[in-house]
This record gives sequence, structure tokens and C-alpha cells, in this order.
Amino acid sequence: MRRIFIILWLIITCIAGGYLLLRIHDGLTFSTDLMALLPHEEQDQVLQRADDIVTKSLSQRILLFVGHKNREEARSASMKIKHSLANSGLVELTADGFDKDRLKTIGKLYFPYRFGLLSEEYRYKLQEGKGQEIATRALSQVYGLVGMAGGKLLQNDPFLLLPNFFTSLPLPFSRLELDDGMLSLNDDGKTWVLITGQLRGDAFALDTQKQLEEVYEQATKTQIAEHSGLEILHLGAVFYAKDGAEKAMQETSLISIISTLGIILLVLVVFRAASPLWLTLLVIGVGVMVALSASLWVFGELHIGALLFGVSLIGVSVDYSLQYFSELFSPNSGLSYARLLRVRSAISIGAATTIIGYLTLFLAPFPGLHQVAVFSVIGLIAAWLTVILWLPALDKSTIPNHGGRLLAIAEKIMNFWQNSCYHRIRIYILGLALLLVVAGYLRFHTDDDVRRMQSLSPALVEEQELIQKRIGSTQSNQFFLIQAPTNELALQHEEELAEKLVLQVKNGALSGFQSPASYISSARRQMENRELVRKQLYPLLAKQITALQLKNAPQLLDGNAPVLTLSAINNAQSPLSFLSLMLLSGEEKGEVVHVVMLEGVKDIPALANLAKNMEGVRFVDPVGDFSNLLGKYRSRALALIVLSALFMTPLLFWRYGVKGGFLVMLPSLLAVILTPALTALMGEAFTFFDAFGLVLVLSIGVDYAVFFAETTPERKNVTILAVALAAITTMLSFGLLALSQMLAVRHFGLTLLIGIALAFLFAPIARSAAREKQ
Amino acid sequence: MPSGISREGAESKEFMMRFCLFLALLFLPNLVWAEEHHIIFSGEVLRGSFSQERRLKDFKAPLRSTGNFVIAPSHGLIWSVKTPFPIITVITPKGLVQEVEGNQTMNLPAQKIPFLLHLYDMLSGTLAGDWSSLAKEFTINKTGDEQKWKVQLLPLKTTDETSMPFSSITATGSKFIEKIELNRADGDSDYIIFHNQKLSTDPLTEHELKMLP
Repeated sequence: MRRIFIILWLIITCIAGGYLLLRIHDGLTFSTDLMALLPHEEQDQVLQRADDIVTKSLSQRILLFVGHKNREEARSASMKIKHSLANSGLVELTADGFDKDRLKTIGKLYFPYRFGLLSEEYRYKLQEGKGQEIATRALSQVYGLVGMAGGKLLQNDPFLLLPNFFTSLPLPFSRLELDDGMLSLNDDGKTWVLITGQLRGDAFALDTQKQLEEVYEQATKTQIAEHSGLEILHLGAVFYAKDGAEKAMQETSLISIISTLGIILLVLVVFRAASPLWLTLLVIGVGVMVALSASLWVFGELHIGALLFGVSLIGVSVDYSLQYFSELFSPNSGLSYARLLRVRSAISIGAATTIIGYLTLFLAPFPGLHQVAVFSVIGLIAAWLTVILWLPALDKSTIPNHGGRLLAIAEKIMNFWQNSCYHRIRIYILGLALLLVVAGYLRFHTDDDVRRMQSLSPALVEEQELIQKRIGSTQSNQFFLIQAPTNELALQHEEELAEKLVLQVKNGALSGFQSPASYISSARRQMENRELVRKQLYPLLAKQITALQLKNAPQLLDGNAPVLTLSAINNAQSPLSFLSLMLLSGEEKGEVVHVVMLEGVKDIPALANLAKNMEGVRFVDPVGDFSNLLGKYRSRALALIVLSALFMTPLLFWRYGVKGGFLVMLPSLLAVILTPALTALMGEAFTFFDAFGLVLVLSIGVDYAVFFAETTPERKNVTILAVALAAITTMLSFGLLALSQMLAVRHFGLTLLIGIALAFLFAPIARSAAREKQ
Repeated sequence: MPSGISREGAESKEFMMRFCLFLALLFLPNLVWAEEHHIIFSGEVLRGSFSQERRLKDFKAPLRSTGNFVIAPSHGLIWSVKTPFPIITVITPKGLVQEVEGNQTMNLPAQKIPFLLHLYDMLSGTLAGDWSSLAKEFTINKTGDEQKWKVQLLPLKTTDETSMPFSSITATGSKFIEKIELNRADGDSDYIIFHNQKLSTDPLTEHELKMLP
């Protein structure tokens, strides 16, 4: 009978292995999209698409700033770097400066509509009846030292309305000037030249990052060598992402090497034999392999995050293997099957409670967590089957004779909880724990800000600040989304919004903004402007013509002349083609969607407030939304802990009775309540990742308690040894993550480190439940 | 992304160019003929009046303006148009400000214009008697003698983007510069005639100091 199960399990693992090989042969890839790990939040596709497009375009921007004391050297170095970037094919350089030709084309485009295109400043002046000021200013540009207006322009635009409209167009790099085709500025006695580009690949793809790094390093090093004193600053999501990925890689490999070496050393020292090590690896290996194969079959594709998380969760199965092998130290250890029999119920109940804990993850509305739940539950079942069925068959261990000393140490720990002479100290410890809980929860605070979750390279942040100090602010990742049935209405919404935004710029809530309406007024506004020009400026025309000695009266625009429309300028040939980035959806799709880009955003609530009560206008803050989401799921994760605990109790009540069941739950509940208090005392905020860590602490803590509840008086020291081994390996594999630089990982690691230590410390309390066992 | 329509770029470059050349030309006498001594010493102030004529193609008549100017080395320049109506333009190392009837009609900080730095380099080189940087941009023709001289500057680059907005600049003078003629590629041209130029060591008036801090 036993043989049949062993062979059956072998067949199943072979099928799983075969399917996995097939998938690997077909080219196995994992999804890396972070968004895919998030819930399909309210399923607003317009918002999602806008979010994707804006975020992607932002993440692909790169910006270099090349500075040198000598203007020519700065320029020639920039030119060479530009060439290297362009030749690499990785970057599409963007022409941020508008050269003479481009300005001329824009001028030509606007020219026929000039009396309907007014800057905000001139529009207000005309509304206030100050037409004469505009006329005088035009004359001063002709008669003053700065006689910049050419004859041709004056003939057609004697009030110089068009140049003023040009001047009012919003500029992201307004502190820079186009100097011989290069956007530059002077600062600290240096000429700084700006190079901007758009990455062709995905900023978060490792190979794109690597290739760009090579090209960038090569290009800048050569130039720095050629021009001494050359300074180069760089900015872009890709550089941050690369730094982050590198750091994560180094960190992960270091942490995993330390933890693997630690675990191997521990097992070898304790058992003085190799077979516990490789059989334990076999257990995890089978678990992961079957889980991967089954999850791929269920989901088709697996997220890389789910894989990593799932593998960690399956790692708990080490505990079961260690329970089994520790039986070697039992006073009358016997044959392998006899040893298994003694721990089988403990392992099975432990696995069952953990599976319940992991299954609870399925209730969280994160698609990624569903994958984690399926992956880890299947993996854990597979690992459990492997321990139960295969380990005794494969285990040829001989009984070690060094067990006495280890058990003596274990006995001391057990005594502390059992011996009445320690009663008073136990009370003190519980009192201290209570005190810590109170003190900790007084300092308790939460943090969901996703910006703090990643650790940004201080050097890059400093460069970013240096760049921003010089060029002014750069585009923020917040934006306004405009939705309307027609382009005209969308433009009108933008004009209404612009009036409010101008006030916010004055208040310092942001430094600037760009909307399609800044480049093309709505038809309604154009008609209003023409009316203003007709009423306020035409009466001054005769005088202006005389003052300027014009030969012919300029052609007057009649009221029915066509207005400039968005469709006229929104094409690839248009010098304003960059507007297409702000035009997400056109009239042909039934709904028009425009984006208003923001720069230098400082006061998010003030801007969010603007959109309230405005028709068709929404404020979007992707990072803020993500943080809100993390906050929501932090509290959901806490609810999951309560739920898991509730789901586990029927099983524990059935096995140990009500009082016994509570005693088995007590150690992990203590750990779950104390851990956040201790981290709070350390000054750390409570994040989603702490909450998630607590889910694990609960599951693992119940395991430990079950092991104690299931053991016999003769075997209790063996159990404590096995649980100690399990706790140490868990702390080595998860707890070391507390050393990580990444806030999210560090929080997860710290919570597990403290939580597992506490769960281990309190686990012997569950020993009393053994008496209640039916 | 649009990122920086250099709106004033083209124009500001043009007039900065114009202004700097103009300054250079005011100094031309000592550059061309009296390299060994300076005509304006630090602490001295050059005052004078001017009349300007802009001849714009297809206009009925030239646009005439008159006024006076003050140049104080290390302070800057005040260019006051009196007729047809008052316009005050002040240029200092900080940049340019233009005012009509107390209303600012233009304000350009110098830091916005990298080209300016380039021109200052060129100018200071020229003032030190180093013609090479100016010669990089122009063909320079000098004729006449110290009593009556003429300098013509022809931009070297004419077609590409970096070209000068002028087709030629001609200056004539004796001790001081007397006349400047600027011809633009599109057929417009400007003439400026200087009179009553006087060097004095009188300090700047309070009013002038207000404008030239």
C-alpha cells in the first residue's frame, strides 16, 4: 500500500516535471509588470491607459546636462555624446530647442489666425480696455534700441500680437535658451548644454539598462578625458531603475549566499551528516517544481514576484523535514518509518494550518496574491507528500551519538516554560511584553508612501537636484485628464482649468503646466479674441498705421474666417506634432481624452481640489494612487491575519479542544501582536510589507505550536531542537532581508526576524495543549 | 514634448548681437587706431546723442527716432529715445530692461542668454587687441586713418542656422564712432548717427545710478 503511494507520487512529480520541461523548451518567460500584481482597481480603462501612456513616456525620458567653462568645449562634447547616443539606436534624441526653421513653420501655421490667438496677458489687457498699451509696446519695439520686428511682420501685424502669443507658449525648459541650435544656459561660470532623448526600449528591462549604461559610460568617459573640467549630470528613470536593479541584485546575491551557507552549516553541524541536507533540498525542490508546473498550467503565465514570494513560502517545508530528521536524536529513534510515524501528525496538522494560512491569501483582491496562494499551497502539499512518502524510503541515516549535548541545551529552554521555579520570571516577561505592547503602540504609525519604499541612489538624487536647480522644474508624474465628447469642449475645459492653474502657479502649488489649449485656443475663445481685437484695437489702427508709416492697411480678418482647429495641427508634419502626446483619444472614437501635463508640483491636495466640481476634468496622481492602494491593502492584510486565525481554529479545536486550541494559537498571536509594537519602538513605520510578514509569522508560529502540542513528554526536547532549527533557518532565509536597503524588503525581513524569534520563544506554551488532546 | 520653444531665442540673439557689436563699434576707435591707449577709462562716462533711422522695405518713410545715451564702463548703457515718444532701454551685465511710460515692455536676464557670454568673450578679446575671435565670425575691412576711418564687418557664415542676422555692418568715425549702418538680409536697414559725444569724469547722476546699479 505504502509502496503504491510512493510510486503514485513519483508518477505525479514526473508528469509535473515533464510539463515544466515542455514549457521551458517553449521558452518560459515570467511577467515582470508591477501593475499586474495590483488589483484591477475599479477597471477605469481610460484612466489606466492615460496612466500607462504618461508614465511610460516619463519613464523613457533621459536628460543629460553637459557643462564646461569654455562654451566651445561644452558644445563639442555635447555634440559627440549626442552622436554616440543616436548611433547606439537606443535613444531617440528629442529636439527640445526650436530652431529657426521650426519657429518659422509654427509662425506660418499660426499667422492666418493671429487675431484670434492672444496671450493671456493681452487678452486681459483688452478686456480691461488697455488696447493703447499694446499699441505703444509694439511701437517701442520698432523705435527702441531693440528693434526686433521686421518690416514684413509689422505690415501684417502692426500690434505685434503674434510675437506676444509666441512668447506666452509654455516652456518646460524656460530658463534655457537656444544657442546656435543647442539649449544652453550659464551657471557657476560654466556653459551648460542640455541633451534630451527618449529611450526606445523599456526603462525597466535589464538588457536595455545594461546597453544604455555601456553607451553612456563610453561616450561620457571619452569626452571627460578629452575636455578636462567637463562635468556631466544625468537624469532619467532608466538610471534610477538600473541603480535599483543593480543594488537589488548585489544585495540579493549577498543575502542569499549568507543565508544558504548559514543553513548548510547549521544542518551539517547539528546532524554531522549530509543526507539531512540533500533530502531537505529534495523536499523543497520537489515542492517548487510541482508548484511551478501546476501554476503555469493553471495561470498560463506566472509573475516573477509571485514566483519569488511563492518559493519563499514553500521554504517553510524545511520545518517538516527538520522535524523528521530531528527524530534521530530521540531516545529510541528506531527505523525511519517509526521515526516518521512519531512526527507525522505534527507535520500534517502543521502543514494543514499553514495551507489554511496561505489559502487566505486567495481572498485578497491582488491577482498576484492569487498566484502566490495557488503556487505556495500546491508547493506545500507537494513538499508535505515528499516528506511523508519519500523521506523514510530514502533516508539511510544512522543514529548519531552526539545528540545528548544538543538535547541538554534544548531541555533548558523547555524547562524555562515548564519548571515552576521560573514562574515568577515568566510573569515578569509577560508583564514586560505587555508594557512593550503598550509603549510600542503609542509610537505606532503607518506609512504607505510608495516613494519611500524604494531606495533611490543618493548620488543620482543629488544630480537630479543640481539639474532641477539649473533648468527649473521637470515634468511631474501627476496630471489632469480631460474627457469630453468633442475636441472643442475639451479645449474649453482646459481653458477653464488653465485660469485656475495660473492662480496655483502664483501660489507656488506648481511651477507650470502644458495643455493642448496652451497651443491652440478653443474656437469659442478664438471668436471671443477676435471680437476683443475688433472692439479694442481696430479703433487704434489708423493711428498705428501712421506711426509706423505703413503703406497698406493690414488685411483685416472678417468674423466668418475659419478658426485654427486641433485637427489642422495634429499630424506628423505639424511643427506642433509633440502635442499628440497630450491627445490620447480623438473624436473618431466617440470620446476625446486630453492630458494636461504639470511641472514642479508641490501642493498635490490643492491641485486635486481644483478638479472637484469641474466637468470632464480629473486629477491623476499615479504614485499617490499606488500609495493609497498600498494603504488599503495594508489594512486588508491585517484582516487576512484575523481571517486565517479564524479559519485555523476549527481544526485546532477539533484536535485539542477549545482550551487547547487557544493555547496552540496563543504563541503566534503573541508574536503577531508584539512584533509591530517592537518595530514601532525601533522607530519604524508599519507598512503593507510588515502586515504581509505577519501573515507568515502567524502560519509559521502555529506550526511551531502544533509541533509542541503533538510531541510526547519523552520527545519534547527533540521537538524543541527541531523547532529551534526551523526558527533559525527561517530567520536566516527571511530575517536576513532586514539588512536590505530596499525599505519594502527590509520591513518584510524585520517583521519576520522579530516575529519568528517571538513565535519560537512562546511556542512551548502550547505544550500544555497536549493534555487537552482528545 | 515641446520642451523649450526658444521663443525669444531668435530675436533676443539678434538684438544682443546687435547691441554687442554696437558696443564694440563704440569702442572701435581705440581698437582700430589707438590700441596702445584706452579712450574711455574706468570711472569715465561717455555721453552723447543719436538719431536713428530704420528703413523697412515697402514702408512709406523711414522710422526715425532720436535721443541720447550714457555709457559707463562696468555699469552699462542707458539708451533713451526721446522722439517720437520716450523709450528707455537699460543694459547691464544682469540683462536688459525696456520701459515705456513706467511700464516694463521687455525684461531679459543675461543668464538666459548663453550667447551673451560668448559675445563677452569675443568682446573682451577684442578690447585687449585680440582680433582673432572677432575674425572667426567676420571678415574685417579697415580703411582710412586715425582722423577718418571706416570699418566694415561681413559675417562669414551666411546660410546656416548660426548665421548672423546681418548681411553687413559698416562703421565710420574719427576720435569717436560717428555712424553705424546695419544691413539685414531681408532688405531692411538701420542707420545710427552719433553727435555731441563727450567724455567726462563726472560721476553718474542719481537718476542714472538708479538705472545702472
